[in-house]
Amino acid sequence: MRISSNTQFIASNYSLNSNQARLASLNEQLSSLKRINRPSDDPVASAQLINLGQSMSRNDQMMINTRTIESTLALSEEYLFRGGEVLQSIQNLAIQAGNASLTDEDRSYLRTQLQEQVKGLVGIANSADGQGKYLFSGTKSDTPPFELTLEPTMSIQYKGDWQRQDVAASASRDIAITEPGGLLFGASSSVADPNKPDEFSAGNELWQALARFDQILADGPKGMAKPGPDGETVMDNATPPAAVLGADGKPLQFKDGLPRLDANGAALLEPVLDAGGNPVLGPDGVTPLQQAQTKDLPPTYDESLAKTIEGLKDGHEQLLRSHTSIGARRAEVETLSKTGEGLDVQYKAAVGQLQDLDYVQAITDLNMAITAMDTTQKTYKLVSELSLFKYI
Amino acid sequence: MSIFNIGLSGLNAAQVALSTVAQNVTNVNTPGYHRQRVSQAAQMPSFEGYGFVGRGVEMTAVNRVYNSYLERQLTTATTQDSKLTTQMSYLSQLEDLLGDEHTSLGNSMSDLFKSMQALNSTPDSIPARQSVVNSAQAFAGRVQLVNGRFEELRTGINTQIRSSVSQINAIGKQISEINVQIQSLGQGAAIPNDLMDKRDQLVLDLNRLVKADVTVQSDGRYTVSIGSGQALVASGDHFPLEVVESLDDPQKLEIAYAGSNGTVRIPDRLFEGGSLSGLINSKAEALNRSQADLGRLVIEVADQLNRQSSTGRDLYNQPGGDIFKSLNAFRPLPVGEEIQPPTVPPTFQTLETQMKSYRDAAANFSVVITDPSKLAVGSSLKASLPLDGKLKPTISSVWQSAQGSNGAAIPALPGPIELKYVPDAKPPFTAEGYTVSDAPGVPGGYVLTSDADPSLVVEFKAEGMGEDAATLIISNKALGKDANSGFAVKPEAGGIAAMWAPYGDPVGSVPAAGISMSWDGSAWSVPTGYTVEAANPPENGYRIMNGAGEEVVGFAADPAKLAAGKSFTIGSGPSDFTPSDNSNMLAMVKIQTKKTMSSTPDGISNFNPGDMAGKTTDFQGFFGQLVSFVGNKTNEVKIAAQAQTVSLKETYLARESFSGVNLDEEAANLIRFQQAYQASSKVIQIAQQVFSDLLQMR
Repeated sequence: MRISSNTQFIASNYSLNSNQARLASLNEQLSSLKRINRPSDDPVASAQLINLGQSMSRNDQMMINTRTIESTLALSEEYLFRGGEVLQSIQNLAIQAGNASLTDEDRSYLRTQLQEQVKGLVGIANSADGQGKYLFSGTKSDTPPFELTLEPTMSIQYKGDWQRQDVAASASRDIAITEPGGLLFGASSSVADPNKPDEFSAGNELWQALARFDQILADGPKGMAKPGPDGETVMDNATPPAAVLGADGKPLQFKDGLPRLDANGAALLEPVLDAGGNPVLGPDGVTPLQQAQTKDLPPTYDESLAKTIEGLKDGHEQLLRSHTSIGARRAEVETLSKTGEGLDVQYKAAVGQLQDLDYVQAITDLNMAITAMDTTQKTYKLVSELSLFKYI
Repeated sequence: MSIFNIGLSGLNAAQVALSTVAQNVTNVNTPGYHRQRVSQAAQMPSFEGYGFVGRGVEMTAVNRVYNSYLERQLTTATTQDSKLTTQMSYLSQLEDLLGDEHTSLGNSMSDLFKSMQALNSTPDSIPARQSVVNSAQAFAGRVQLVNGRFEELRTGINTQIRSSVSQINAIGKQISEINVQIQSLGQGAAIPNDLMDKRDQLVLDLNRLVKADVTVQSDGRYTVSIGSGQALVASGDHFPLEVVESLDDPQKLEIAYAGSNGTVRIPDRLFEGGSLSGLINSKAEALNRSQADLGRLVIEVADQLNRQSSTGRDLYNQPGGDIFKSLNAFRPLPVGEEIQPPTVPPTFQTLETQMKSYRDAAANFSVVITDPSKLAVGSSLKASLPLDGKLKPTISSVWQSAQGSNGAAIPALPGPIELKYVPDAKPPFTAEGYTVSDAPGVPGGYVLTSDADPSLVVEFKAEGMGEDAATLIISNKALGKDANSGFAVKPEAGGIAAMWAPYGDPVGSVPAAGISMSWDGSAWSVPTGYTVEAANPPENGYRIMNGAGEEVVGFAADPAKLAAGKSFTIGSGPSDFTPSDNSNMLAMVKIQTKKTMSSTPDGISNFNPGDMAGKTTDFQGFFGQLVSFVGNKTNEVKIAAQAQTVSLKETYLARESFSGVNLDEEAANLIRFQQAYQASSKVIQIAQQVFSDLLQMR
């Protein structure tokens, strides 16, 4: 092959250029420690890196979120724990209130004590977090969740709403960080039917029992219905009192506390009805025969107290259930937080696999490139020195 | 006598040969120079009776060593190399812009959603809200930065197109002038070598700018044509090209040819090689697609976030407004579809008008929300407790989900939704006029889709499913934050289960004194001037209308549970303001991973896949596709350019090997012709000596 003088220059020039480009690219990889420095180095991996970047950024935020969730739930749990303690001492009060030897004065002390404890409990239910937001008012965090009035009768009403604040703890799981107070403690202390004050409605037992407890402490056994004195004859409230005739036409005797006496001491009676639903009249043909009322009896102090104790127990159980549910959520968050940490490691490993430089390979390549460059330069110098013109 | 002549002819021949060697040596580095060779031949001998006696040497020609096949190869390699190098220089700028971590849109988009996610922990915190506004502004700023660079690249390309065309014209003019010179200087078979070299070099230079084909005419003149045969030079005439603005988009430049029949636009695709084609291709294949994708991305980002925002409530308990400037007006149609409203004659979407829309969209992308309190974090809906007063089940959050895209209207809740809980059914809720389905992947989550078109989509989460059937009401929250913008009923306990702000337009308001009403066992009695209308079905919903026929308030009550004679007063009460409600923001954050984008079609004939195309990826994935596209394109051109560089080197070497000057060879020739010169001198000297000897014999 014929060689022109420029052949040598062109070929060397090309080799020098390509060696230099190789060195520049290795230099860039080694100084950034990345295999991919621009999308064209590996277009598919670049797109994957962009998606991984989004996943990592989301995961970072999830891990921050799990800490927020954890601390908020921990705060709620702490307050519920303290609420439980107060509730326990209220339950003790209820047991004390059952002591038959209590005087009205003792009961009024108990009532004062109860009201203080209820104020404490409502105070706990109205707790706010560090930023002054009420923990238990659902999403109406600017409204104190419970409104307590003590006079004339105790009343507690829920003012919050029923929605929870959810925070994402992982890509697929939102966790509620608040619990509406209405579901923890109850919505209202009023009962559905004022004539049946001991019929508490599900979910509202705590407040209803507390209001009832306050009421019966105020009324006392004397101010409430009582069982009739067994063995005595039931008298009507005419003047002078006359014996009431029973279904058998004989004077009616108190038996097993029946008929019950109302708060004023009057016996609770109802007329005896025949098959046609008409009152059966006594021997005088005017006065209907009477029997003890057995249905819808006004409760006695002891009955109401028993219901109150039961209601307090139900309320306490409801609180404990919620407490458990919050604890379960905390446990879940902890797991999710660990999962997040694990994911973070995996994402980083994936990013590493995609873009990390193989140092050994790169340094070996660099050495080879340097050698090639050096050789090219030396060859170029030596060959360019050869010329026939030197000899003529 | 003949010895003299023979010697002289040898002397002359050697001198010409030496001059040619000198010419070769001095032009060793002249671009386009072909080494020249002298051809010599013995002169016609003279017949002297006994035979023919030589008469010396004569010069027949000075030729350049030229192989038209090698030259054509070099031209082709040069024009391809020039095209690829030009493309590479723009593509690498483009990929640096999109791929660099510090300018990457991907990161700032992630940051925006990250700050939105952070806000969910503290929905009413102004600093957290401010951080969302700031991230949105940072994202918009990044989009403007990238789009600004796109525009700079575009301007750069346009400037280069203009200067390339003026260079092409200058070269064309020179070739036509040399054509004339060659024709006038040409003497029979003899040709002016250096002028030919100059013209061939001009053709090579022209090919660097644009692929040009050369036809040699019988008289040695060149006809140079470009594109699909448009003559740039024909004999001594030169037809200049022009740069004209596209009729659809003045920013797009087109090359036109001023032929004898007026100006003709040459379609871009006809330019196959040279830097001009590199410029046109970089723009058409990479820059346009990148900018169109950016435009399409930001139109969708703005639309999706604004739509979800509009279904929520801000910290003033007012309906949410736009976060980003709405870009829906810029949405182009797929290429070829008729633009609405119809015109006469109909106008159709073209690639150019589509491109312009996307560029305008990207340039207009900005944040309109400035007051962080106006971020619509909360939901505009609320849910009542079960009407029977039991606490099971409860709806723990409820929000409207903005469906659809392309700026379609989002229907408002037409009235309260009566949601019936049916234990043990699957899903356990029904609502008339709505289809209820389980929310995928959300335990306790349900989706209500209205049967109307466009459909209204409400999502909710329910908890504490009990064993008893129950009815709940989902309704709009009363607007406003001041204490009396909501409703209250007295006495509080019993009877009225839920109240909601009026729906529709116009609406009235509850007077300060309230509205006293009672249930007489079969009907409601209300003060004069008001009427109560039952909803359908009547047992749960009622609307109180004032004298002007405006709805004042809606409420739900179950007559079966109401005692006759029960009376209430509906008055102003606490508003439905819920600062910690973040359900709308939770829905907004989910947009990050929602499949909202469809892939770009081919990116050359159409940038918009249209509404019917399946949504295959989220925002980030779409951006990844763009980066990957630019990366692939760059990679493809990089590899082609590397191959072309090698090919150019090889063809260049092949030509050099054939036509290039070898100095050693020339040095040898120098000695050779010097010797020939010396020898011929000796011949003359001897001839003189012979002649002189002859004279001395006298």
